[in-house]
Amino acid sequence: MEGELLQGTLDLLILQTLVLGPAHGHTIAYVIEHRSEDVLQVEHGSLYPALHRLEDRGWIASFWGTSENNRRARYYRLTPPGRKQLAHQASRWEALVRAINRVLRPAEE
Amino acid sequence: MEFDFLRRIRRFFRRRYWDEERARELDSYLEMETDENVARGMLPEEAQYAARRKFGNTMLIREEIYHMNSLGWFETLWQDVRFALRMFVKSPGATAIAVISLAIAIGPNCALFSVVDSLILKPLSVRGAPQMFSLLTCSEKQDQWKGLSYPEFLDYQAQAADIGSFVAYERDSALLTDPSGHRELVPTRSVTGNYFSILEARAAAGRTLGENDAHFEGPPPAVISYSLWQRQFGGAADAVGKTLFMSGRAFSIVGILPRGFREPGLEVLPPDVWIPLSAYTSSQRSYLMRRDAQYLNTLVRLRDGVEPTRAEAVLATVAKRLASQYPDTNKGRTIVLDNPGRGVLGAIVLSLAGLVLLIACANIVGILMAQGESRRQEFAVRVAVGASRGRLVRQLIVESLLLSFMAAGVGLLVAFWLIRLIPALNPITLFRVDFDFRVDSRVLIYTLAVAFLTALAAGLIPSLRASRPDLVSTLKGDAPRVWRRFQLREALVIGQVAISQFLLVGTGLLVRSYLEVERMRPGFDPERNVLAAFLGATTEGKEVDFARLADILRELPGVTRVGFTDDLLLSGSGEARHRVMIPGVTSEPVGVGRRAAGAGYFSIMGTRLLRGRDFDRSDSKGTVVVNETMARQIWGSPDAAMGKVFRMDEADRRVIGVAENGKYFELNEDPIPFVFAAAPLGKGGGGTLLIETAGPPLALAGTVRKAIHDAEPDALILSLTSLRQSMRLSLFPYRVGAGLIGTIAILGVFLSGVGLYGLVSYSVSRRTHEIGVRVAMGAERSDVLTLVFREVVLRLAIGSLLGFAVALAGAQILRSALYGVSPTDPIGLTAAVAVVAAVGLLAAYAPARRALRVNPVDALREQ
Repeated sequence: MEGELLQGTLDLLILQTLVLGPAHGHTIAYVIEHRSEDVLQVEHGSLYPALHRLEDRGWIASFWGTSENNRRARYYRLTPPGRKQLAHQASRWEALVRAINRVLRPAEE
Repeated sequence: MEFDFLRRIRRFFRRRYWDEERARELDSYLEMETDENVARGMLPEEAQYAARRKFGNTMLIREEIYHMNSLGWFETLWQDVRFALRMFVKSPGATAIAVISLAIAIGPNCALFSVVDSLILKPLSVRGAPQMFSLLTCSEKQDQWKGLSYPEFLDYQAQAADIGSFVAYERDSALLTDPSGHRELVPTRSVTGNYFSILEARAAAGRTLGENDAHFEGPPPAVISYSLWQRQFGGAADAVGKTLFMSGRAFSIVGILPRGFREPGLEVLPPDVWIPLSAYTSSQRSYLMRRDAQYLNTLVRLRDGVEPTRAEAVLATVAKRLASQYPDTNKGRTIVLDNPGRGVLGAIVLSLAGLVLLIACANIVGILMAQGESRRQEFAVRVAVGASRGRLVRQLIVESLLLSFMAAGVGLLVAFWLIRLIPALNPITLFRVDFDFRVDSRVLIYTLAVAFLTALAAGLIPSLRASRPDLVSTLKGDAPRVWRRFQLREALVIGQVAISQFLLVGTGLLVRSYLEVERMRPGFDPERNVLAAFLGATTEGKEVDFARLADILRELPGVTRVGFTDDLLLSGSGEARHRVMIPGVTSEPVGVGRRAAGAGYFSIMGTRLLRGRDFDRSDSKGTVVVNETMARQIWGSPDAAMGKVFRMDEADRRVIGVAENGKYFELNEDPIPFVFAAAPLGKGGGGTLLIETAGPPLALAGTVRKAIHDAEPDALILSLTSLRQSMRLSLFPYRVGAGLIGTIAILGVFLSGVGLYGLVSYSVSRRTHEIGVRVAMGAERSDVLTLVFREVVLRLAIGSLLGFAVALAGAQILRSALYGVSPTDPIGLTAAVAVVAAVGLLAAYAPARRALRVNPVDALREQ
């Protein structure tokens, strides 16, 4: 999975990032890379289509705002359905991780 | 899912907006990144490049988002449709030809479906049909299938009530007279009271017949068909309550059935009038009550959950009980359930019709394949510029779908026109037949389904082939090696010819058989000018004075002689055997057929006497004439029979003559020993006056009817027909069989001709170049003709041979339906082969002429 994120995983990460508050795409990419200690690289080529998809599904909403350095930027925020979706996806992700771990390290359990 | 789809549609219409929106957003990030780079100390220009490098191609991102907003498959489909329509508009001529030739294939196909649907499929879809069975009884020798007698019907109804409900009816026909005096013969049903309730039929107007109709005062009730209502009353609302004159009796119309009402079972002639069994005349009724009169059709509607096998077991126990109770009539008789309409005839007609549908479909495939072939170059170009194979296939299927739906529209018009022609194709003249063939929603659905399936099948095969072209050679414009290329199409045409040949062999045999039956001498001369008046008394107990009537009729102008018989031969009344004891010759009684005959009977009927003399007025009841079969069977020879005495019906009979053999009950019966008993004219409850006329007998029908009515108000004219007309009624089944299969075969041959024409003209057009070269090199007209016809003749011969072989194997099935013709009848078979050959050569004629007109200069310049 190095570098390349599964589509659903990127969605999950974007939603999680937006829990902290509205952000524009640039920030979202930065936050994801920073918090994963640069393990996860967000390709712009997949970030923007993902944002578009999430907005289309109504999980996030967007508005034009002003960035830190006074540039016009499109900001994204989490919607209530998005919050529900995040909880749902996060729990599924954790279940998946636990399952994979059980397979990889059966002795430790 | 629905929500998702709506969202996609919404997105689709807002994609421009989103595209601009995202472009601006991306621009803003680029600027942001540039700002940051500048802040890191880069030069502004350098900073912008670095930002662009980081973002990569923003156009790609925009494109991806744009794609997400598109409807994908649908959109490109719409492109295909627009492209196809543009293609059609660009070459209207070729499109018209394709549509018309498809329509020619689809039209007859639909017409045929309409016929099959109304003859077979609709009757099978009668409500409750799966639980409906007809009952057949079989004699001890297992060689004769019959219906049930009325007493038997009552027995089964009472003793097997727990398997289901029983309905009985008699198939009959009657002469209907409308107020203007016009007469027509219509199929009728005499039914038990529960007939309509078990068949779940409701009247469209008035009521149907019920159990209460067993008792009526005044004229008996009758229910009429929608078709008769239209014919005789013009659909007038007040038809219910009117009087119907049928076979000289008055009936009161109590109801009209809805259009399209069908009895379960295959019925070529849908009935027009239903009357209760209780409306039988007294003589009919006494016959009805006989246990040996096993002529009723019986249906059983099994209760839900009763398996046919269980039902048969129950019926078998009842049959066994009846056999011990009534050994005379029921010994060894078994009873079985039979699927009405799912029997042999239905299967034969349906599969024959299916074969013709196949021929029609083969034509459609052929046409579309030819089109695919001629567009190979276009496809090669498209593949070369990167069209995927799937895309090409879809493009072709879209095109063929559009073509075939247009053709379906035109085809329906063709079908509509053909359906109106079908009754004219059917050589039925006696019955006024209303088949109720029409283009209804079922035919419409069928047409669309055919159009769709043929488009799929026909589009797929050529497109799969065309989309895998040999790119280089095709682009270079080499003529494809056509000769190898349409083997499939050739196989289709050969198949078509084979199927037509098969159908025509069947037709040939049936038509020959019909002609044979018509030529056959039934033991009398049906061409003689004789009017047969079947009379009965109005009420039970009254008698008709036949002697007085004969005297009166003899005085009528145009009448030469008047004879008598109890019942006309071949009149359709069931076969009855009389026991005859011959002292000193046989110990067991012999069963013989019997008719009463008055003075001059044999000369009026045109029956030849081998020995002895005709009856005259001096003959008493004790004198008889026997037929040749009886004379030979019992006494060894006609000579030996003369003057012999035997006992029949508890009286001594003396043989004074031997008549030629004839047909007495059915046209295809084996020779039966038969006795004509002298019957002095007197009074009686019923009988037939044979009125010999100088001119055409039917011209005198009105005068005779009036004279009888005036002289004997108590006499009912049950039927008044000429010998010829009565004979035609016996010929009817043969006529229908030959007509039905003939119609199907004619359609099949026509369609094969169209297919062959298509193949040959296609091959000629593909070989224009080759022909041009040949002509330029000095080929004669005859050489060109040989070139074209060699291919045709080869295909015809292979197809014909194939069909012929299958037909010969199958003809054994027809054996029972044939009369006087063997299944290998040379005349019928030769005619069938000749027709196929003629149609094939005719189909090749036009393309061959075109080949002859090929101008070598033009043909060579074209390349």
